[in-house]
Amino acid sequence: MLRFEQIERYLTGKMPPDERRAFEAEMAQDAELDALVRQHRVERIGLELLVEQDLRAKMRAWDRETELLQQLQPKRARIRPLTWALRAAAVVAALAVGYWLLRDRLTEAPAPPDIVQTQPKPKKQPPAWRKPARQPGAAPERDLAQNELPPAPIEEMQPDGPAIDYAAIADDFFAERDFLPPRGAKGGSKTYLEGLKNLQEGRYQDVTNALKPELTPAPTTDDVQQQELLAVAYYKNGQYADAEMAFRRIAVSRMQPYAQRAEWGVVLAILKQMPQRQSALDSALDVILRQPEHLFYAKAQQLRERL
Amino acid sequence: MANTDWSDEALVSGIRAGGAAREEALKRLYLMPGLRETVIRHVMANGGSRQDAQDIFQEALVILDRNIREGRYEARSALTTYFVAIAKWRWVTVRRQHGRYTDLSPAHYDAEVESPEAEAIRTEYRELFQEALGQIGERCRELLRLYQLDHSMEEIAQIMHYNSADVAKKEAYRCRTRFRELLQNNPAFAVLLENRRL
Repeated sequence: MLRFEQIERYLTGKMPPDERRAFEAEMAQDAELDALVRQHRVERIGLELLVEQDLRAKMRAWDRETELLQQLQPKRARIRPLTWALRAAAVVAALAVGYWLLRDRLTEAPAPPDIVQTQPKPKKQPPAWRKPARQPGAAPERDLAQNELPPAPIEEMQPDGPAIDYAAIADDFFAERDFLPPRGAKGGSKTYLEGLKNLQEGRYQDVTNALKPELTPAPTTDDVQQQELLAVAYYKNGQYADAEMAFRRIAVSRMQPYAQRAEWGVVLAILKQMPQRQSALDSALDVILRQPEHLFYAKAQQLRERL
Repeated sequence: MANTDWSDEALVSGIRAGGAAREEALKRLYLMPGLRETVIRHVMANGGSRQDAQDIFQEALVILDRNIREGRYEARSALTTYFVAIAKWRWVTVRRQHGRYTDLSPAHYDAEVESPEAEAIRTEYRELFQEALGQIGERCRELLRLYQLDHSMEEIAQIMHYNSADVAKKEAYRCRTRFRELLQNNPAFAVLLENRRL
């Protein structure tokens, strides 16, 4: 192995000048070593194919991103006049409510005291649309934005058909080992390893509380690994929409192999939100099935057949 | 932090740094306004289709990335000039490979090019390499890709979930040996080693 490392250091220009000269002198004397160096050089040309294939996959992904952006732009343009109309409507509505409140107050104004002493009017109940004050001790309201999925868009509503147990299918396809290292693994930062331990011991809430649901535009490996932990913790905790978002953040980073694992994670998280997310599921599966070299190509094919 | 100052120097050091920085720099170049159009115009004006032009554009990025990583770009010209020159050179080469005579300018883009022998091996033995790489398994492919991109063994251990850099190193050695054996089992590879000087 020492010879192997020495040759690689020579070929990658990591050898100091003195050592390099000595090594070249040795090569000139030793035909076997010379042949070995040549073999390494040729192998390295072959291994460049791996880098090239990965870069080509990335270029395809960048093209898809650009296409998506281009598709979105005209829609935004169509939406803009509507936004102005909505703003105008909101102003009119605010004025109307203001007038109604003012009129209400004017009609409620007490009569001058020096004319007739009347019984005080019973306190007016707040209008039905006004939010009642919360009673002490009452159960807190559910924060819809955080805990519930928004209603499915109309175009994603599915017609009635044979019932498919999507959640069970997702369970069949979900494997922790696809996203996490084996138990007892030691590689990774302290935060990552703590999170991993919590996750493997079922303390999902500890993981979601400790890690941030965000990724910088140029994340480090550790950032992406933590985000992956978070995604899996959300998934295991039944927070599938959050899991999907965390997986999507990793996929967008394009850092491999995490991005490809995350693309598979997106599929599984959407599967758990079915049947409302049919079109999202189709596109997430297409992303993988367009790349035969994708880590999860075979699984995605099996899943599509099963569906 | 994302780099917002995308000078030539920043792009080159991003590519050399590897990992997310390399990817971001390559993406910037790939999506750089006007660059693709320049290549498309050149290829289409010289007998190529739009699809040929798109292929050449992608190949140029692959070559630029490799040249920068392997220290062949010496910043004697602006990066975009260098990129377009690579694309032009590549288009001449493709046309010649396909037997279409071309009177385009000479088939070199700079003094900073890969040796013609290496380029020939890359082209002629592509399928042989691909076949061997197809048989070493997904994890070995990923590990060797990271190794080729000059990631340290510590980084590889972290990314690939190995327990230590030593384990990663042993795995890299095992995968590389497997790759070598597969190549050596192919008679064409022996001919290659005998006949080519690198």
